[in-house]
Order: sequence, then structure tokens, then C-alpha cells
Amino acid sequence: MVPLTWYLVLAAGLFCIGVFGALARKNAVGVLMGVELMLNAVNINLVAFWRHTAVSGMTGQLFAIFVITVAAAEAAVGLALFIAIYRQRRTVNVEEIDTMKG
Amino acid sequence: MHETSVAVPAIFNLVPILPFLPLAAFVLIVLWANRDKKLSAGLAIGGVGLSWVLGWAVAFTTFGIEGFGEPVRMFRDWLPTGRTWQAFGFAVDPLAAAMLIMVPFVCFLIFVYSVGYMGVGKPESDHDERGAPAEPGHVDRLASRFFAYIALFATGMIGLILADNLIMLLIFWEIMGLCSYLLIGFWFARKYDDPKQITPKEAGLKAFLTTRIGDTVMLAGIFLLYAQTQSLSFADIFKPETLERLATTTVNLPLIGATPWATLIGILIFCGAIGKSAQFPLHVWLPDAMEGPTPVSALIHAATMVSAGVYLAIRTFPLMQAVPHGPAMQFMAFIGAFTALFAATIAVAQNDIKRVLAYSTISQLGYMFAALGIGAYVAATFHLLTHAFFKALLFLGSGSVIHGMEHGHHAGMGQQVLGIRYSDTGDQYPIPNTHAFDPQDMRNMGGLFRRMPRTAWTFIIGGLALSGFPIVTAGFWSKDEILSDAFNGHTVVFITLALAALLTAFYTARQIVMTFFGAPRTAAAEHASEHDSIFAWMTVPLMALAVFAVAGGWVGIPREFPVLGALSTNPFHHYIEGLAEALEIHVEELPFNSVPLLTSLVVALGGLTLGWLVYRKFGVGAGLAPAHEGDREGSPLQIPDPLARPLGGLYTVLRNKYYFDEIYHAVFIRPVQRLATWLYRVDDLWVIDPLVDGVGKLWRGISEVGQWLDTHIVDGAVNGLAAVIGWCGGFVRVIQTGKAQNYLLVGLVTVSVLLGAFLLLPK
Amino acid sequence: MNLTDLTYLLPELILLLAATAVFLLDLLWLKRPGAEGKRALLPYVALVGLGLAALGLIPSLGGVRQVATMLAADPFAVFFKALAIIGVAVVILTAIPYLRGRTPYRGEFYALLLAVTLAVCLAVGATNLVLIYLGMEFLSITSYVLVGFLRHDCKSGEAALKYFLYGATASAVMLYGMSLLYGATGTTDLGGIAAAFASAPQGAGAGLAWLGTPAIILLLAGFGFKASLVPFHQWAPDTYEGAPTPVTAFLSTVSKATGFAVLIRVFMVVLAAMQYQWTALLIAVSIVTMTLGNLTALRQTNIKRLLAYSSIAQAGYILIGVAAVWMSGATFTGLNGVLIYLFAYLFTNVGAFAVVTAVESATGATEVKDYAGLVTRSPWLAGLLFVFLISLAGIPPTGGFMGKFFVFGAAVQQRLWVLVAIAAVNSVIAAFYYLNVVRYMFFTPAEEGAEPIGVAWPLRGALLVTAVLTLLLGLAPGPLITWATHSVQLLALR
Repeated sequence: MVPLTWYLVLAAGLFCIGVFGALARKNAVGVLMGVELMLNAVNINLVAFWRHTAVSGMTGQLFAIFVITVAAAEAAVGLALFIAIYRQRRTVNVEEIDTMKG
Repeated sequence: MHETSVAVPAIFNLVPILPFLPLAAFVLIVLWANRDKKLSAGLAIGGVGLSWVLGWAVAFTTFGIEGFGEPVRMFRDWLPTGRTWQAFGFAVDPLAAAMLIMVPFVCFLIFVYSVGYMGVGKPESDHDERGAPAEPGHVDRLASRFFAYIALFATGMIGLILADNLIMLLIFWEIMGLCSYLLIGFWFARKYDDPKQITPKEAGLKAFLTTRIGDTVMLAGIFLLYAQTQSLSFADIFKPETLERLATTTVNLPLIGATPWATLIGILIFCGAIGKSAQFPLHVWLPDAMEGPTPVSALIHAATMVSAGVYLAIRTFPLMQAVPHGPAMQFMAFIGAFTALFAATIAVAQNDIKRVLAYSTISQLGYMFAALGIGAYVAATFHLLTHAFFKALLFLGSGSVIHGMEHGHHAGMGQQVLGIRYSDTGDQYPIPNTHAFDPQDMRNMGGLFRRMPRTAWTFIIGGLALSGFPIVTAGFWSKDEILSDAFNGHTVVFITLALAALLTAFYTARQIVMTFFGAPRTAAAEHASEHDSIFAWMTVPLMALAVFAVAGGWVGIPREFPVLGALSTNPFHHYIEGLAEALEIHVEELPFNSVPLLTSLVVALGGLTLGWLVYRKFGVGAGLAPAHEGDREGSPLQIPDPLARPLGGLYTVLRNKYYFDEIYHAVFIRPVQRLATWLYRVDDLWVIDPLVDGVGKLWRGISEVGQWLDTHIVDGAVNGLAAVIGWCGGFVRVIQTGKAQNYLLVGLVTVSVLLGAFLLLPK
Repeated sequence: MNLTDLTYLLPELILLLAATAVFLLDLLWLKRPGAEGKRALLPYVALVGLGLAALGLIPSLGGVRQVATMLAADPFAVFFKALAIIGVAVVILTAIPYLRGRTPYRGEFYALLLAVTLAVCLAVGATNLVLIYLGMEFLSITSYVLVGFLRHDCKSGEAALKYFLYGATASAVMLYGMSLLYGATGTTDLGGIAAAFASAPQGAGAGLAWLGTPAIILLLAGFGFKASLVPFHQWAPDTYEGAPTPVTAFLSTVSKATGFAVLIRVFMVVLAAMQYQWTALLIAVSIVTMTLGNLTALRQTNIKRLLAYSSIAQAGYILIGVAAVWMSGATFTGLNGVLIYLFAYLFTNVGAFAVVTAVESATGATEVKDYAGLVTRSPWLAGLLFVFLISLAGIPPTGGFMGKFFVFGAAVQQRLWVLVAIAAVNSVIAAFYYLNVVRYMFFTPAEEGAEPIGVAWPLRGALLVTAVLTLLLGLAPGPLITWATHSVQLLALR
């Protein structure tokens, strides 16, 4: 069996890539994709922990499924938002959407 | 309502409504009567007048109760705090009753005086701006608001003296703080040509923030007291066993070591009094509070605000005294005595009639604190009461003088006299007329005695009382009692206070001479009068107060005083003794000693004579001159003060009040302003910038190494970096850039730093 | 799960039904000619729904009950549910005049507000990490929509975008922390986790207990985002400025309170064994939050941004209460202060935003300088805003004073001197910018030709309720204190 540590390192790495994407991508959709990567890292964590340490039950898997579902809902709302903003400004570049500051 | 005592007269049931009568006036004026200035004035006077009548009824009832000492309490549960309740309640004991004699009555007289001062009943002037003083002969446009505020002010003070616990006291204390802010800044639209001169708006804020410093420390003391005793009710805190416990259990303070709780809490609470009563080093707000209308100055200086600080110190005296003559009391004696002398020296060199009085108030309050600090509980209370009468008298008198001067200035302008300058030889030549005339500057006055006799007589009576003119005036008896208490083992305090008394008499004489005697030095002084109808409203309260400024002291003549003592029963001492016994405070009437008596005679008479001798020639021979341009030759503002040459540089220091405002500005205000600016930018310039730079460099490194992995990501990163660097290039940068990813970066970097710290630091 | 359990779920069920009903009625009446009058009734339908939901709380009163394994109907949850229901009801009143003329899709707005209330009810009652995540995410997603509700307003869209990006990332970080907690203990049930940390974990999970502290840090990012704690606060000023003002009122009070409720439940109950670590963390966050919030607020010229920074600073004060809690067994000494503060703050801040809404609805102005001479244009609005501002500044006799009194008092009892000193200095600074608004309203003349401001009836109702309660909580806080104390004492699991 693959040791737990390997999964955790994979998940941590994936999480970091997601963070990097969320911070570095200019397109809002790209940022959203970074967030999705972070969520998937969590899913790996949950399933791995479920396999290795859980006391009983299916909680880890269940949690992961919930996360996937909620992520879909979040993406739907987010994309709708991006479209609305694109209609107003003809851009979804996060760097350029900064009229309110200070 | 439940009462603790067995048989108390029914009149006590009226006590809880006393503070709410002026409050009702306030509410009615705000909600209903605000368009009618006469009605507003009537409501305010009616509210406080009822309080006065009921207050005296209650107080005189207590005088009739033999051995009255235990407070009569009326309260109901209000705030649950764990297992106990904080009560909403009032209490009457001899101290509160004695204050009830003074506070509503003086408030009432000041309210009546305000009718004249604000010109109620006169027409409104079209030229007047809202929030600026009215032209002479016109009503202030915001007079209704004024009466609402002062009614609320009276509520604060009456509530405070009757409060049964520290929570109630604190609430009324804060109401007064709020009112002082509103009233000092009442003429908020007033601006001066000199940008350095403080405006009423700024003065109000200054008063509020300065007293707030003391309040904050006091609040800490109250919290501690509650933590230690589980109660804030005076009745619980002042139980002998509680005080005993507070005095014996100690707390370890850094640097100082083991300190009894009573000492620590006492000092913290006293800091609130320092702020409210304008004691050194928080005295700076009080002279600037003169920017408010004169009745407000009288209210603040006599009946309310500053008295509240002394009252708090007297109220919590058992706590201070829990460690007899411990650090708390020594601290109080030191602050009080020092302030008494310190403020008196400043008063000597002031030329504004109200500012002299302001510094004299600070000085006299210092007297009271010094008296408390050496354990002279009764003497401090006595001086608080007598001082309220004659200081209210002096302030209202000065307001009358200022009004008279303004009238004179107006009349003079009408006859174009102001435009003529007379010289000694009788030559006349015209001088252009300007508005820069200060009716409060004593150098512009002189010879007002003839023109405003009623004001002058009452003002002189007040001044004599302030300087402690022997035997006749109230000030003599109360000051003498403090001095004789101090003489009994507190030599340093005694000498300091005696010196302060000498200075007090000196500057009072200076003020009276400069204002009322000699020849008029300006056309305004020449034409000053008190024959307008509004002066009827103003002079009647003056006369009433003058009676009390004289006779008020006779209730406290010591029984052992030569000759007069035989006639006296010293009812005041006897009365307050009841409370002192109930609180287990040790007070005694001291055996007669001639040294303090002689001292007070010498300093009072000596100071007065000296002041008269030095200033009687002030401005004589300078002739009558317009006072509008300070640099013009022959202006009274150019006459050198007789003290200026002998004192030299010291005089300049005194004139500038030891430069305290400037020092505070440089030491506290400017650094805080700088700190705010600095913190506002600190994120970009010193934290965020390097952080972003560092993180950026890191990213660049990663992307260079891993270029073959995903050109797209690297492109994005480089573009991102370029954007970040471009953003850094902006000159004015703020933490809140408006860019969502920068926000994310701050949060995520924090998380990473915390995680890193957890992983790297040894467990 | 049985029928009795369902009675404890009554508020949630009623809110669900009411939200659906408003959605459907809106849809039904949307295209009908002449149904405009009927659609104007929708906010009142929503209010009735909230009223029924409040009644639905009655069966849950006075006991600690576990419902359907993941939800608790304990006094703590009931307190926050009541807070949310009252808060949203007032927000609806302020929204009625605000939305008029700004968007034609008003019915959905009220349905979404009901949905968001439901989300709060789920989040504050959840006793399982899964449900906590679902509740908070439900709350977040509906909030994103509400913030971006004015589709043709550029600022609204930008506010929603920033809120969304920050919220999505923060919840991912929080979720990572939750996965670590699950890994360390093998369960997502709060009681189970608490038990696992109290005793050394057994089995394969043994040796993973050290993950607790990183999990605290990661969870703090998620909760801190909701409660707008520094450094997770930066979305707040922009979002508050751009969002429709009633939504801002909601975000700064109810949503923030939810963040605190979840933080308290998770930290106090689950991570009690690690109190030493998180207390230090919270003290530091509290100091930074109030100082930064207040100092930045000093420079603001937009009233909504000013209130945003003030609400960040207020979160710092509230956190003092959480950091000063002293636990012994099942009682939480000092925690009642937090609840009192949150409740008083709810009315004060919603009231302040209601005044802002009134001014904005009438004039479109949101700059502080536009408040010059407000006293002559509308004495009532000026007077009410004065009450709310002194309550925010913590001056008696207002609810805000009571909140500060109890929170600071708890800190004094814990001898957190430095914290109290910093908080005291901060409240002095805060008084300065609150008084600045007062100065504008009362002491600065209005511009030439400024007209009186009229206030719509529903808004008057909102102002009346908030002002009366703000003062009442300061004058007679007895019942609230009893209630809050009771709600805290029973915060426990099973």
C-alpha cells in the first residue's frame, strides 16, 4: 500500500500549485481554476485520511463528495459573476478591476 | 423601590426624580419647544428650578434629622452581573445633601442669567450666522439648543451627586463630558483671524479628549474595583471589612512591587478626577474651555464639571484613606498642592478676564485635592461649596463686564468715537475703525466701576471671597480651615498653599484694579453700561450669589475661633461628621492655633494690598485709545505689565502658561499624527513592498528553474510580476490597492508565516 | 430522527418554505401585467416568513438537544438564530426603498435574504465539520449573489468579484485545515474531535495530533474571513462600499456574527485542549485588527468605507472577549460579553447603515462631506445617526457601551492588561472619527440649495426599531444579559 505520507505530500504540492495559480493568474477564470486545484488537494487529503486513519464510517469520502458538489455550485455562481462583469467592462482581468481602493 | 432605612421622611421618595426634571426639560425642548426660544428658556429654568426647590426641601429635611449619617438609598435591580445585580439607584447622605444645597441653586441662577446673556426676548439679527455669537441687542439664533444642552448638563451633575453606585456615577459623568463638548463648542462657526488662536470647535474637542484620558484610566480602576469586591455600590465598597481587605491584600506591580489594591484603585480613580477637575498635567483644557459662552464657563467652573472631579474624590475618600496617609493620599496631596501654586503663578500673567478666573479655578481645585490628600475631608467639602458660589459669581460678573464692553464698543462705533484718538495734550486725530477688538482683554478696560456699579460691587465681593478677605467672606473660612488642617503636620503642603493664597489675593487685586478702577483705557470702556433691559436678568443672579459668597462661610466657623467662635456652633462640621462617622473616617475639629490664622490674614491682606499697589498706576496717563490694533502706538495693549520688567523671562514663561500646550502638541499630538501617517503607509513601504518583492523574486526563481514545465504559467507569473513591480512604482501607495489578488497574498503570506513559525520553532 | 426532532428544525424548515414561496410568487407575478402591486407585497411575505421562523424557535428554547446527528438545538445556536432573524428582518425593511428604481428583480432579493438566513441557522447550529463547511459555503455563495445583485452597477460587480475570489480561496484554506483535523482524529464530529484531542488518539491516527495547531491556523483564515479579522479583512472595505447598502448592513453584522459563532464553537469546544495556543493567536489578531481598522478609518472620506473599517475595528474588540474567555469544565466565564456585544452591535450597525441607506436613497451621496448640515436637512436622521455613532464609540447610555463594558471587563478579569490598554487607546482614536461625522452633521453648514431628506415608511420602521433597541440595551440591558449568560452556560456538546 502506498504510505499515507506520499498522499499528503502530493496534496500539499497540489495545494501550493493552486495557491500559486490563484495569486498569479490575471484572468478571473484562471484564479477560479487555482481555487479548484486547492479544493482537489483537500479531496485527496480527505480520501487518504479516510483510507488510513478513520475510525469508522464513510465520512471522508462523503466529505469529499460534498466538496466536489459545492465546488461546482461555487463555480457556477462565479462564472455567472464573471459574465456579468465582462458585460460591464469587457474584461475579467483581475488586475484591472480595482476602482475601489484606499 | 425598596429602602434600607427604617423611618425616613416621605420627601425622600422625591429624590429619584430630581435629576430627571432637567432631563424632561431637555427632551421637551428638543422634541417640541425648539422653535420658541422663550419657551425653551422657560422650560429649562422651570426644570432646574423645580429640582432646586425639591433639592432644598430634601436637604433641609436632613438637617433636621439628628445624627444623620447613613445614606438613605432608593434603588432597583438593573444590570445582572453573574450572581449579583447592579442597581439603578440614588442615595442621599450628608455629602449629597450639602451638594444639593449648592448645585441646583447655582444652576438655576446661571440659567436665569443665561436668559439675559443669550438675549432671549430680543429680535433675531439677519446678519448673525448660526453658531456664532449674536450682535449686541439680538438673540442668539441657537438659544433653544443652548438651553437644551445646559438642562442636560444640570441633569448630569444632579444625577452624579445622587448616584448610589459607580455605574450610575459613570453614566452621569459621561453625560457631562458629552455636554461639555457640545457647550464649549457651542459657537462652532466662530473663527479668528489669528490661526493660532483656538476656536470653540477645537476647544470642545480638546476638552473632550483630554478628560477622556483621565476617564479611561478611571475606568480601569473601576473594573479592578469590581473584580476585587464584586460590587460597585458605595454601600458595599465602603464596608469596613471590604476596605480592610483592599488595604491588606496586595498586587505585584512591575517596577513598583507589592501595592495594596486600595492604593492602586484609589490612584486610578483619582486620575479620572484629575482629568475632570483639570489638575496638572491634564489642566490644559480648562482655560480653552473659556471659548464657550460665559454661562457655560460658570457652569463648568462652579456648579458642575470640575466640581464633579472633586466630588468623586470626596466620595471615594474612604478608599483612598483605607491605607491612612498612604501613597494614594500623598499623590493626591502632591498633585493638589502643586497645581494650586502652579496655576496661581500662571494666573498672575494673564490679561483675558476669563482666563485669569480659569487658572484661579484650577488653583482652587488644587486646594481641595490637597486638603483631601492630607485628610481634611470636611475642609475640602466646605471649600468646594463656598468656592462654587463665589466662582459662579465671578464668572457671571465677568460675563456681565464683557457684555457691557461689547455694548460700549457698539455705542462708541455709533458715535464714531472709536475713530478718534485723544492724546494727553487734547489733540484729536481720526483712526480707521476695525473689528479686531477684544472685549475680554483687561488692558482694554479700566474705570468700569462708575459705569457698571452693580456688576462691580458684586464682582468685588466675589473677588474678596476668592482671595480670602478675613472674617466677612466665605472664602476666608473655608481656606483658613484647609490651612489650619495643613499646619497640623503637613508643613510642605502648608507653605505651598500659603504661597498660592498670597498669589491668589495678588492676581485678584490686579484683576479688580485693571477692570474697575483707574481711567477708561478705550472708548468701549468709556461707553460701557449695564442699563439695557437684559442686564436685569443678569444682575439679579449676581446679587443672589453675592449674598452666598459672603454668608455661605458662616456655617463653618470653628467653635474655638476667638470671639466669633462663641457665637458659632459650626453646624457644617457637625453635619458632615455624621457621614464621616458612618464611613469611619476620622475627622476632628482641631484646637485653635494662631499661626495658620495669622498666615491666612497676612497672605490675604498682603496679597490684596500688593496687587493694588503694583497695578493702581496701570495705564494712567496713557489716555484713551482705540484698542483695535495691537501694534499701534498708544494702544492699551502696548502698555507693559508692571511685572514684566522685574520678572523678565519668567514673565514670558508665565504668560505662555509654561508652554504646556506647545509641549503637548510637540510630544503627543504631532507624533500621533505622524504615527497614523506612518502606519498608513507602513504596509507598502516597509512591509508589503519588501514582502511582495521578496515573494516576487522567489517566484521568478521558481519559474526560471521550471520554465520547461509550463510556459503558460511562467508567462502569467512574469506578467503578474511586471504588474506587481509596476504597482510598486506608484509614488503614493496605500495598503488597500483595490486588487483582489494583493489582498489574497497578504492573507496567505500570513498563514504561511504562522505555519512556518509553528514548524520551525522549537516546541 | 423522529417527529420531535423535526420541531427543533422548525425555523430552518419555515425559512426554506418561505424562501421557495417568495421565489415562486415572484416568478408567478413577474410577467403578469398589473401584478406590480402584488410584487410589492413580496418583502412583507418575507417578513412574515421571518416572523414565523422566529416563532419556530420556541420548541428549541431552554435545552441542549442533538438533532439528526449533525445539528444542535442549544441555547447558543438559538441566540444566533434569533440574532440573524431579527437582523435580516431589519435589513429587509431598509431594502424596500433602496431597491426601488435600482433593479426590477426585487423579489429574488428577498428570497435570497431568506436563504441566507437559513444558511446562518445551519452554520451556527452545526456540530459536524461537514455541516459547518456546508453552512458557511451556503452563506458565502448566497452572499456573493446578493453583493453583485445590482447587475448594471459597476461597483456592485467589482465588490462581488473581490468577495468571491477572497471567499473561495479562504474557504479552500479552511477546508484544508478541516481535512487535517479529520486526519488527526479520524472523525468530523466536533464532540469526537474534542474527545480525541483530550485523550491521545489511538490506532493509525496516533502521532498525528500535532496537526491540531496547523489546523487552527488554517481554520482561522476561513473564520477570520467571515468575521473580517486582520489580515483576512482586505476584501471588506471594497465589498462594503460596492455592495447594495442593505447587503453591507447584513455582511457587517449577521454574517460577521456567524463567523464569530462558528469560531467560538469550534475553538472553545473542539480545540479546548489547545486553548493555550489559540488564545495567544487571537490576542495578537485582536490587537492588529482593532489598531489597523481604527487607524485606517481615520483617513476615510466615504461613509460606507468608514463604517467598513469601523466594523473591522469592532471585530477586534469582539475578539478581545473571545480571547479573554476562561474555561472550567462546561462553563465559559466571560463569553457572555461577546454575545452581548454582537447583539448590541447588530442594532447599532444596521441602524447606522439604515441612515446611510436613507441618505443614499434620497440623494445618492455616500461621502462623509455630503453629511454636512444633515441636522438642518433631516434632524431625525442626524439625531439617530448620532445615537448609533456614540453607541459604536461605546459611550453610555447605549448598547455599544454595555458590549464594551462586558468585553473589556472580561479582559480585565483575566488580567490581560496590555490588551485592555491597547483597546482603551483604540477606543479614544475611534471616538475621533465617529465624532468627525457628528461634527459634519451638526456643525458644518449644508451646501447651498440642499433640500430636506424624506424617509420612506419601511425605513422609518427599521430606524425606529434599531434606535429604540440601541438605547434600550444601554438603559435596561438586564434581559439581554440574562439571556446571553444563559446561552453561554449551556454551550456544550451532548
